[in-house]
This record gives sequence, C-alpha cells and structure tokens, in this order.
Amino acid sequence: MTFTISTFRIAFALLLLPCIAQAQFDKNYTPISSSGTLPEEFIKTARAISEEDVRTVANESDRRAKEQFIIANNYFLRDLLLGGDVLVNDPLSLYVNKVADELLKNQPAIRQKIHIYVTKSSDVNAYAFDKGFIFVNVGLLAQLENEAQLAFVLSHEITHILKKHSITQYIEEIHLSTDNTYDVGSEENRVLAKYRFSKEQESEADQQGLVMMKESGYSIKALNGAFDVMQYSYLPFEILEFKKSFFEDNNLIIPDTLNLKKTSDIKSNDDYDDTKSSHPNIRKRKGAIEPDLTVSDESSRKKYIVSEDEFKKTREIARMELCRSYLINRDYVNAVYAAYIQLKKYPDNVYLKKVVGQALYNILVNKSTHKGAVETSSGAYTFDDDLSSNKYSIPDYEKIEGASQRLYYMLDKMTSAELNTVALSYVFKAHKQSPNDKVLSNLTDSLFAELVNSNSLFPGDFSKKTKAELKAKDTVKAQPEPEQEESKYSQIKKQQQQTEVATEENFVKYAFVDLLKDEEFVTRFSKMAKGLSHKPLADDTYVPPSKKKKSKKKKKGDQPLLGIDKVAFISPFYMKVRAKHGKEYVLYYESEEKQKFLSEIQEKCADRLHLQYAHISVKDLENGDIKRYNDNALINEWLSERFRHGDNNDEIVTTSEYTQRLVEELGTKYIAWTGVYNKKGKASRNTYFFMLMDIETGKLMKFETRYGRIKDTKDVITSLVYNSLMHVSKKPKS
Amino acid sequence: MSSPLLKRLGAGLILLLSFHAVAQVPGYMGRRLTLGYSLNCFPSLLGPATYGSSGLNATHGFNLEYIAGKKTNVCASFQLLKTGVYETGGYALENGEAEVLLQLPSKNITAGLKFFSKSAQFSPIGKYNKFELMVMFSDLAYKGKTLYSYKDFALLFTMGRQRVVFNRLVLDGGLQFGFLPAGYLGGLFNSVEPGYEYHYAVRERLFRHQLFNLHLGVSFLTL
Repeated sequence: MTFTISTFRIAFALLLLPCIAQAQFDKNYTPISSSGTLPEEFIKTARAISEEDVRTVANESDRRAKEQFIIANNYFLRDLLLGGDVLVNDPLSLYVNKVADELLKNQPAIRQKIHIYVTKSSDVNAYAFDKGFIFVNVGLLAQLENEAQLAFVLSHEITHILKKHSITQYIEEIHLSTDNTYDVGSEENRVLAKYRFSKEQESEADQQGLVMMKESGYSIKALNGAFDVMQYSYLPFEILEFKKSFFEDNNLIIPDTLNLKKTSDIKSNDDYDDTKSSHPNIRKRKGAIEPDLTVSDESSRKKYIVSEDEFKKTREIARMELCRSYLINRDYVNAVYAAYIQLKKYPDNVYLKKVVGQALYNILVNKSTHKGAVETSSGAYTFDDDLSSNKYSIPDYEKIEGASQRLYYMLDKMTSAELNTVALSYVFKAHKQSPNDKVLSNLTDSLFAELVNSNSLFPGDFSKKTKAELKAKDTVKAQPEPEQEESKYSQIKKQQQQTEVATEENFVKYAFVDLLKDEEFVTRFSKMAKGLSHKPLADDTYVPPSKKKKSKKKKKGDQPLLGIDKVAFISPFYMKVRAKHGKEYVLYYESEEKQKFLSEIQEKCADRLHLQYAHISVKDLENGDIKRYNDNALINEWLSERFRHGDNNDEIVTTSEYTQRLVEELGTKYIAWTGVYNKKGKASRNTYFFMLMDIETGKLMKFETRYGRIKDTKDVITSLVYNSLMHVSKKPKS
Repeated sequence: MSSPLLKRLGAGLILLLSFHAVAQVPGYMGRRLTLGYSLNCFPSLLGPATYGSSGLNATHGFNLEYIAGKKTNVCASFQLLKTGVYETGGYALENGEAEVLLQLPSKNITAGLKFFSKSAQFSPIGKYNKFELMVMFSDLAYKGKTLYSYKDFALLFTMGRQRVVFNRLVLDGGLQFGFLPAGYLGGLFNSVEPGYEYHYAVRERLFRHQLFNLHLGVSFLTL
C-alpha cells in the first residue's frame, strides 16, 4: 500500500472534521434558519392543492369523507409548513434527506414522492402525511444514537405514507361511528376499536419499515436501541449528574440542604396499558419485530452510511436548538439542564450561558411576588393583581426521574433571594466573559432590579469579607477590653454573624465577596439600588416613593389610547365554522378568502386613521422569498413563546434577542394580530380578537376580544378593526 | 324655536348629548354623522290616508343622527305627513253633504336616542331600539284653506336593524310604534284654542296614523 500526499490530506481532513465541529460551538452558537429557495409546496395555496387532490378521489368509495379529509389535511399541512417551525435547506434537513436518499436508493420513484423536513419542536417524535411529507422534530434528532436508528424512523414513516394510513384511519373512524353493531351502550367499544385499528397500523409500519431497512445497507442490530429512545424519550438527551458546583465559586457555597442526596432511579416500564393508546406499548413493539432482527449479512451492514461525523454534528445542532426550544416552551428547568450538559462539552459557549441565565431569571420572576403597580410605559396594560393564573411553577421534583432531579429539587427549594443571588452571580460572570453581549448585560440589570425590588437586598446586605476573614477577626477580638462596653444590638449582630460563619446558613450574604471587588458590579448594583430606592439609603440620594396617584375610575370598556405611529401586521386569523346536526365543519375555502378580506380591511382602516403599517406575512410567497419566510418564522416563534407567558409581562421573551433586526427593518416594534372566529348554527356567532405587542419588551400593549350574535359581514368586521386601530393610533390627551 | 317647550326640548337634547358623547367613539371608519331619508308607512286600515285616498299612511322623514357613544346615537328628524279627518258638522251641512273630508297635513320634529343592542358591536351597525319624542304641528284645512292649527306630541318606539354598505351608505329597516297620549296629557297644548272641537278628531286620526308603521331608511355617513 502506498500513501500519496493526497491520501494524507484526506486522512488529515477526516481527523480534523470532528475538531471543526467542536470548534463551531466552542464560543457561541447561532440558531439555524432556512436558506436557499422555497420548494413548491410552500408556494401553492392550500385551495389550489386541495382542488387537484380532490379530483383524484372523484370515483372512489366514501368520496365525500375522503374529500373532507384531503381538504382538512392540506390546510393543516399548509399551516404547518408556513407556521415557522419547519426548516428548509438547513443542515439538519439536508442530513436527514441524505439518510432518506440512502434508504430509498433502489426505489427512486418513491423517493421522489417523499419530502422530509425537520421541525423546531422539542417533542421526541416524527410524523407523516399521506401526501408524502415527513416531519422529524429536533427533539428526536437530539436523542438518537446512530444513523441507522434515524433510517428506521424514516422507514416507519415512509410505510405510513405508502399504505395511506391517515386517510384509511379517518374512513375507518367514520365507519365505526355509523356501524350499527355498536349501537347498544357501546361508545366505549367504538373508541377501543379505533385505537385497535391505529395500533394495527403502527405494527404494520414497524414491520414494513424493517423490510425497507433490510433492503438498505443499514445495520439491523442497531435498531434494538431505537425503541429505547422512544421508551425513555421523557428523559434528557444525556444522563449527567448535576453538581451544585456549577453555580458555585470560592465564596458562593450552596448549602447541602439544597442538594438532594439521592436521585430517584429511572423506572423501566415498557409494558404499560396501551388499550387507549394509538401505538402498541414498547414491549409489544419490540417483541413483534425482535424475531426479524437477525440477518445473515449483519457484519456487512453499517450503523453509518452517510457519515458518522455528520450524524454527530447534526445531533449536536439539534441539542443546541433543543436548549432554546425548552426556553420557548417555558420548560425552564429542562433548559438549564440541557445547557448544563452541553456546557460540559463547550464550557465557554455564550449561547448556552444565556440559556441558563434567561431560564433562571424567568423562574425567579415567577417565584417573586409582585404586588402593587407594575412599571409600564404609558398606555400599556398594567396587571397589578395576582398573576397566579399565568404563573410558572417548577414541576414536582418527586415526579422527576434520574440525574436532573437534583436540579429540580435545588431550584424548587431555593428562596427567591437565594435564586436571585445565584442567578446574578452566574449571569454577571458570563457578562464579564462577553461584555459586548447586550442580552447578558440587560439580564444583569434585570437581576439587580429583582434583587433590590422584589427581594429588598441592597449592597449593604452582602458581606465584603469571606467567612474565613470574619472568623479570624472574631478570634482576634475574642477578649474585649474590660472597660469597653458592648451595646445590646452589637451583641445580637455579633451572635448572628458567628452563627452564619460557623454554619452554612445565609449563604446569600457571602455570595458576592468576589464580585464586590469588581468595580462594574459595585457601580451597577449601587446605581440600581439608588434608582429604585425601596429602602432608605445611607446617603442623601434617597428619594421617598411617590404616593400612588388615584386613577380616575375608568368607564367600562374604556380602553387606553396608545398614540402609536406605526405597526406591523402579521397574517390575520380567520376561521368560519358551520354547525350542523351537532357536528362542526370548518369552511376552509371561505376562511381562506375571508383571511384576505380581513387583511384588506386592516389596511383600509389604518389608512383612514393615518396609521403607518408594514406586513410580516407569507401571503403570495415566491421561491426566492426565503427572507420573508424566515422573518415570519421568527415572529411566530416569538409569539408562541410570548403566548405561553399569558398576561405575565415580567418574564423575558428570549426570542426578542433575534427580533431586534426585524424591529429595525420594519421601523416599528409593535406587531398587531387580528382574528375572527365565526360559527354559524341556528344563529351566527362572531368572536373577534385584536392583539398588540411590543416585540422589544414582550409587553402586551392591547388585548381585545369581542363576541356578538351577529353575522361577520364586511361592515361588522370593519367597525371592529377600526375601533381597535383607533385605540392604537390616537394619542392620549396629555 | 320660539315656544318655551321647544327650548326645553332643545336643552334636553344637548343634555342627552353631553351624557352620551364619550371619548373614543369609533363611529364607522371614523364617520359619526349621518344624514338621510326615511319612510314610515303602513296600509291605511283605520280612517283615510292621504286626503282620503286609499293606500298607505306615509310619513317622510329627513334625519340627522350623531354617533354619540359606542352603542348610542342621538337622533333628530323633520317629518312630513298628509292625512285627513271626516267632518259631519258645519262644513258638511254648508255643502249639503253627509260628511266632508278635511285635509290634515302635519310637520313633525322628533328628537330621541337610538340604542344598539348587545349583539351589535358598534353603532351604527346591528339591531337597535329607538325612543323618540315627536312634536306635531298639524293644520286642519278645507279646500286648501287652513282652518285651524294644532300642536300635539307623540312618543315613538322603533325596533330596527342597520347595516353599512360601500362604507358610506346606512340601510335601515324596522317597525315603528307611535303613541299620542289622550286626555289631559293630549290636550297639554292650547287647551283653549280655536277649533278646539276638532282637536279630538285630529288627535285620534294622528294616533291611528302613527300607531304602527314599517320603517325604511337610507342615509349617508358624512363626517
């Protein structure tokens, strides 16, 4: 064997590849977005697609039901494709498609029909549409162990498509609901029959998927783990013991009382009751395909055909994405834990540190009790009352299995002041590492504000000396001079200090010993303390809190005028439903038409009110409109995160970091969303909503809903939209 | 308006406006004033229609409405109607006939409030109830010559529904019920007036004319 220079080059490059992947996440990470040109399915309207598809079932049995299914499915698919979760031409989708190419290498006709996309969802799942679309969630990619497992997932979904399982199940459900054999008290039996049918389909997809795998070059043995991935999908993507030292430094020592001694074991229940489940339980699924897992040519088969490095890189990207996905889904403890796992690999990654900081902050603001007025800009809604309805609470740690339980326990047991201190210490250190990062800088200020405002902790409440220093001082002063008398109060304080120094109590007091030596830390802390002044300070900068002005009693329904010059409209929502014989049918075509019409009304009303506007929508997309597609995706992501906070204005909308560019491009930070839900039964019922949000701060500036037993005629909708926009554009009287 | 009653009516209207004219009223696309025409009509079943001809009792109205609240309009109108009363006394005897038809044209002024129902989102769209006070200036005439003039008042109630088309035109339809108080209240004006003996018949005829009508209207959103 002779090695040429080029062979060395290739070998060198192969050795270097994992290092490059590692280097990609060392310092930072930028969330992935779509690129290139948009495929046809993103451009055609759902109506156009449905009209074509409906013709294909014109002469088939159950034509009506099939038509209904096709139309509903196409509209659902359209919403999914344009909703923003689906990634196009990104590294993850490209890799998954390469695996599909490999899997269907010998069946090009089938491959041509299959379109695979990755979606930004944390659920460990993949799903298919009969029309040929497969969606693989990043949550699943983050958990998979090898490429062969991904190939099996794809082959399972491809079988669903080839066998047209969705439409068959829909028709079966209709037959079941009209089947007279179930007449006598048998609703339960109908439901069970439905689940039975679904389980049969899943088993068929497993079996046929395995056949497809055998036809490919992928390892069959590797599939053993595929069902384990499903069984333990509720656990984080890696099991790594959580150590409290993650938050600690020389002086910030979290007491052992906050550290759960033993975490609960991971249960192994694969034989759960699946009577009312769409899928057979894992034991049955494993058992059904186990006999077929032995193949004679296993040794020639591979776990990785496309590339092991690419698989690992893809999984790392999915894991990085997952950290953000948890934040967006308000799954804060999981976000901290996922980032903790990744930080072990990339300890200097700023993106991961921001995830930790933001998650801690959002947990903190839900722990703190905000009573009284919440500071708002003029005209914004104020929610002075208890926000419990939208309060986030840490899931019960006793129900958590495995290593992450310790983190759940610690964050649950920490008081607001303790968590605030820990979070501030963590975020400030991250800020020092990346001083130019605005998110970390703002987060530091927010944590200072919480410390002063909600937890009434001021610079004077923190010790500048370490426990060791104080202990030494006590020893020196142990024998007081006989003629020097100690006051009662200094004796009390001394006693308290001695207890604190000797035990782990009040760890908060000593948490900032190092940080209080940092000039920036001291300056920012003092500035915040002076500015908020809830408590008299030693110097004369104390400003007594002004008396709360008695607000004029507002008339019912009287809403504030916001005096905003420009808004960005996002695609409005419109759904028309007809109720007939106790069932409700969505009128998809009409809804689509009405959506356009609502968009026009918005523009007319804005023009009349001299309100400037911009659009963020995916209306009439073209192949090259990838930027518009990404902008819409970003806004939808922002909205989906913000909606989870409900009327809680205190939590950080983490996506705001990425929407800043949009604010500059649009020339406004306000986005308006309008929608109508119209149901026509015996009477026409109309529900209208309007929302205005500040995408910089996450504040819900206006939220209006109106219900009426009235038709959704043009004049009715116009007057509703005009009224909402009038409140947005009119300036309040000074 | 020379009569003290009309002055009081005017003052009442301004008061009503001040109570109901709240800020932040959207109107329709910002337009709050409507000018229009309305027709109140119904087959003339009780007594003569226009000067005795059979057909419809009709009242033509020129309306002014102002959207004063989210669900409230302040309304004023000028109306014209023509009807008649049969007379079997002096004029009939003069002509040697058993009865003659005296003409009864009336010019009316109304003022009132229109309240839109809960189901309506904002005025001027949707179902409404309208309450009006009407002052009627009627003349009793024979062969074109005015014999006596009367002043009466009536209370009107209209149930209707409005729509806006082409963002400008308000279409209005409904039912109107009118009531002319009898007895002391009915004779509040000019109780000792010339032609007092005909007033009862005049009021009775006007009552029948206003009792029940179909209401149709069209108006333009102006300001």
